[in-house]
Amino acid sequence: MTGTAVGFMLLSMVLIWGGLGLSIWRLRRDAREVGLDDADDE
Amino acid sequence: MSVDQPREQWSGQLGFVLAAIGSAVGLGNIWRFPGVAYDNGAGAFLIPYLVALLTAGIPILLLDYSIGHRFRGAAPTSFRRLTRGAESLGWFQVGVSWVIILYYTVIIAWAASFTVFAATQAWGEDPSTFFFGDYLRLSEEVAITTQVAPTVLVALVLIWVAAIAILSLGVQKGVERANVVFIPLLVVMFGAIVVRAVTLDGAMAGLTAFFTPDWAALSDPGVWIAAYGQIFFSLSIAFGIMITYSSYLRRRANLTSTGLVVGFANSSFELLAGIGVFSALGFMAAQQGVPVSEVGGITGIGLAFVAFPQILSMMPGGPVFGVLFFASLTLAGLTSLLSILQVVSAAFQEKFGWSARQAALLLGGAAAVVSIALFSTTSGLYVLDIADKFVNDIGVVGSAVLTTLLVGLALRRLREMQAHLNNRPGLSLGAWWRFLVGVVVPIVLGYILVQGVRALIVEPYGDYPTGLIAWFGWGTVALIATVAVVMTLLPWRRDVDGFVPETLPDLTTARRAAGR
Repeated sequence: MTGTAVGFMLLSMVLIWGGLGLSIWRLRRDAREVGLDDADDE
Repeated sequence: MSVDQPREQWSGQLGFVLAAIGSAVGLGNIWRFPGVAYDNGAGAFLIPYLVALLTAGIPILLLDYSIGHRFRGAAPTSFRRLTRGAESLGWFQVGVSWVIILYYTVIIAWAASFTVFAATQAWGEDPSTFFFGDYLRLSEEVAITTQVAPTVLVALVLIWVAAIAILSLGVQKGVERANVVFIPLLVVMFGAIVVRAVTLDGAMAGLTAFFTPDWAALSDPGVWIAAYGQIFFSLSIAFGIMITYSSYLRRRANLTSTGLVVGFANSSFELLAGIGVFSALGFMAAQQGVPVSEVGGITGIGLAFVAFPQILSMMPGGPVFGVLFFASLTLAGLTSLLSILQVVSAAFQEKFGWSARQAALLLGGAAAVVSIALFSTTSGLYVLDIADKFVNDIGVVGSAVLTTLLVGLALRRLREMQAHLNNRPGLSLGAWWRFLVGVVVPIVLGYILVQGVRALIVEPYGDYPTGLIAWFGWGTVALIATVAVVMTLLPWRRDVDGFVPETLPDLTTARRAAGR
């Protein structure tokens, strides 16, 4: 693989898979802060 | 849900997230994204792709969430509660979903059949002849036939039985449980295929082709439109699915952060598929002694049912990885199918007070009969191709444009939707979200819609006979629109208009400050 291709592969992984990781982290943090599992009001 | 029963709910946030990911991750992630990316700048496609995800994909996803969650219903219920005259738009989305169900099922049936064929590599030396000739028994004349392809028929019946059985169990016991099992299984199986693919001879050449950026492509507007199209069609947005799914969430559910997870999970699977598919194509190119750019059939049915069987026949451990590949396709398709079926099922449950089981049997049964009659025949592929083109390019895109114009321009209710999303845990949205949904998305998707309709008018799609295009293309779209109006005129069996949406403190404050 060329250096450019490797660079773009890594960049794609960091941005997309990293974006997923950050989103999951944020969702879990929100859930911990508000105790979402107890928030069933229906 | 019958008239007197409380509304079903997901068991928790995880169940919803997995179901929403299951809906978004479908056949297009595996067989469409890699080829589209490669044809539109390869590595450079990452830039328009991410821009499209952040400026259109996730914003529309959140708009769907806000409509379904705020008005607590499937598309017709939610749009009617948004404004009475918009119920037809909800039924239009239900109609689009119903047509997609008819042909989506048969593709899953093909994948299920090939899961069995892969164990013995039944396609032999010539996968193309096997798929189109021996399996589909595709008629040479491009016209409607009543001759049945027996193997397709058996697989299609089995898929329908499985889908109706799961749907009849309801949201939590059926759809959610299926996704909780299928999605992790899909990730593990597909992950195993990708690991095998990147260790094949020639895989690095494939990855080089896939990731080397073509910077000139970024100045081509067509590449940007392709990126918006890929994100839009991939995320299962704007035809009722996410409206229906979010209506089963608890009132205090986190909508915005969940939307980010679903959006990025869908793209993550697409990236994984791109790596796997181009590693495998690189292997095939090496075996044939040609550059990757000369390998044909890099998207769609040709990739899945012709190129991949060829690759599997050449690679060590082909039968095992073949079973994993086609089982992955089957699961990815099945989880998406369940979400589309739920759009139709929920709409009828709410309008006519049916139970989940009644809706599954009546609607699933009717769809199964039509689907089997149209698509298990030797002309099924032609009808599928035409219906898919028209329903997606006009039905789905048109529905998205109408939804954003209705909420943003006609009703000016985007501020209310933003306040609803912000009035619960999660990321807080600013005015930028209203700008994206109210301005950017209608312009971009409006352009895609006009271009799509123009292309279909100027030149007969796929060189099919005019009669076939009239019946199964334009006719399908006209039928969906007509049925939407008829369904709107039928009376409701439950009190749909007595619903009062949640009071929003942010909105009240904003209105008071504005003197309204």
